Amino acid sequence: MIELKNVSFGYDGAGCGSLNNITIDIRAGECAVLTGKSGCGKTTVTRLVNRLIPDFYSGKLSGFVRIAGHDTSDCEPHTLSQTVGSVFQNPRTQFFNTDTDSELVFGMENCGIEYEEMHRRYCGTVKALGLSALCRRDIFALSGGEKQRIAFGSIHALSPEIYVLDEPSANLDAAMVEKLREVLVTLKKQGKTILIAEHRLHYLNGIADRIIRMENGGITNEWTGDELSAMSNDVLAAYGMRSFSESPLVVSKSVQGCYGPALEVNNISVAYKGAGTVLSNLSFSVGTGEIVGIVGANGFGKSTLARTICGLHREKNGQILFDGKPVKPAKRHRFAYLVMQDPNYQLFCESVDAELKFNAANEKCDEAAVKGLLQALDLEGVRDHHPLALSGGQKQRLCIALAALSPAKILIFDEPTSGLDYANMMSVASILKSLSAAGKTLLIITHDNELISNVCTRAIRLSNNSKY
Amino acid sequence: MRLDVRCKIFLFIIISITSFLAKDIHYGSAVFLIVCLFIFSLGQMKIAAKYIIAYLFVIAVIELSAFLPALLRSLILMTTLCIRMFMPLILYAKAFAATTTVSELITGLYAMHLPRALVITFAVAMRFFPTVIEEIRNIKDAMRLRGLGFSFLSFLRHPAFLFDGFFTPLIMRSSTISEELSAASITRGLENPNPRTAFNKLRLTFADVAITSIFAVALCIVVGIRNCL
Repeated sequence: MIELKNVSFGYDGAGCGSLNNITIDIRAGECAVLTGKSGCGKTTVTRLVNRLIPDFYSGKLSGFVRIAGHDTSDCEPHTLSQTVGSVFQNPRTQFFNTDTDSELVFGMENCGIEYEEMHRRYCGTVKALGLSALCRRDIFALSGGEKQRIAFGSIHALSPEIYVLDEPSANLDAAMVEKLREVLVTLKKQGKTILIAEHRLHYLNGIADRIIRMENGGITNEWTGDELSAMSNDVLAAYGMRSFSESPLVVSKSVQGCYGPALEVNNISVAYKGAGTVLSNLSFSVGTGEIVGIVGANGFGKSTLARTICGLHREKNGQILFDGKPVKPAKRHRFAYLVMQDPNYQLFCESVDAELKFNAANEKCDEAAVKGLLQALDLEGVRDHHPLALSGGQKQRLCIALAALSPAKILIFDEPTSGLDYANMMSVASILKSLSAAGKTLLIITHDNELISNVCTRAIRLSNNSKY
Repeated sequence: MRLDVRCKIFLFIIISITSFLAKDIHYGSAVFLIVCLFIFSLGQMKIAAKYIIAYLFVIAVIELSAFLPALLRSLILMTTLCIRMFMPLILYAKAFAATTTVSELITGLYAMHLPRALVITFAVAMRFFPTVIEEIRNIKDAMRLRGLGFSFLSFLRHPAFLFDGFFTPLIMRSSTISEELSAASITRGLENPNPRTAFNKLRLTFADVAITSIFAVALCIVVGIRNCL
């Protein structure tokens, strides 16, 4: 079904993500998983399959690509749109409409599916994927995970033979990942061919027929699903891969050096205009130096809680106390800092050094501490670079450095490991631990049980508008 | 009330023309009033109410400016003229966007036999504004976290930082968004040259035509009276 023979590709003007003489042959009905470090070329392979290369991303391509019997070097861009369905990494930039219903049928409308057939498939998709709660909604009001489900639904409605998924689980909570798994099982039963580029592997156990590990644009290893599930987590970690079995939520770290609560959330209720109450009467407290995971299903107010603690959103009632003193929303940014999921928002100076100085200017900071921090985060060599010229991982670490330098004692991280491979996940984990050792208190919003088990002293689950 | 998207487009053109032809305060207000009535009949009470209050405020400013020195007065009149002229249009555009889905708009524009490139441009424009608003909100959050609030005081203290902090991420994000969005729409066959089908069928009813004609004629009468008298 998917046939790549001696394919090499290099993006115009960029070295990252290029491919080196790759040969992959995926038969109809197979589920293949591509894994490997960020920048190893996984996404490039998916782009060859959905034909964005060479139509949309230009570069030097050699070799032979045949998808569902079409030689992709001589077909029109739209010929594959009914055969190959793609779900991309970023949920915010893959919808074209402003309401969910239009989005679900968008592909079908473009391909000219008949009216009755379109309505039949629409109903079928809503039922198969459990989307009825999301129908007729404003897409801009959905959470990341909900958007991802709509994106998947709109592909499902087209009923393609080949599914190409680029990190489909990155924004999903545990329950939704389980749901995604069920859908993939159904698709496999229907004989669909599935190609997934992914770091989180546990939910694919039992579905993946082949796991292909890539490095520097080449294929280094290939296992069958059975072979991989026989391998221990330590062996996988040596390959830089995440666990292939579900990791339970374990938090058993003892809290050291805990001096009274650094943050108290007292009976907080938060509402959004038009969306009603998101959090109601939530209370908890966090001790100095603790690392607390905030978990819970998509759309239950994890991000809202973070925004409220940082003073970006006003609570309806309740209090937020730092070191025992209540603080008004407008002043909270001095006490709590949020590291956003997308680092591009938080960087704007002309060099890494200027970014650091800007944050340090607000607070006295000695050069030795800055230097130590940069060394710890492996940013020492790029001090004079423009922040936006850094790689994704470097940008994220720079944002963490800025958080560490800010006067705030409480640092909140929004999904710090979404889309990270094992090695990067572990390096983020060690950074978080060292921040906590330096006296910062951390709250981590995440769906990543592996991360929580590694660093958190405790986890708080938000469900049904209240704490569990 | 639901109105066929083609009628809405037709009225949009009529309103654009009339609000520029009826510039003076009385006839302009008449155009604004008719547009408000139309928005009410679409069921968008909230948007209309907001604009009516704003409009009354602008009128009050104009009336009060009579007590000011001539130079200041003409300055105010010039500014308010621009605001008054654009208010019916912006109000209509807002209600249009609130009552029309992108898919409906695309279907309507194709039904009017407009070229493909133009239709896609319109559709992208409708999605563009909410996206930019979302981006700006995130950027403001990011700036506030670093102690750069959007206020007059912070503008005086760090004008360059405020500018950089706002535009650098906005431009960076915009280029990523446009690239990823185009990629996603290509894989879903947006460029397919074959005829497109529609999830919601368009039906031009007698009521649609009647209502559209009533409002269009009313607007034309206002302009007619103004030019003849």
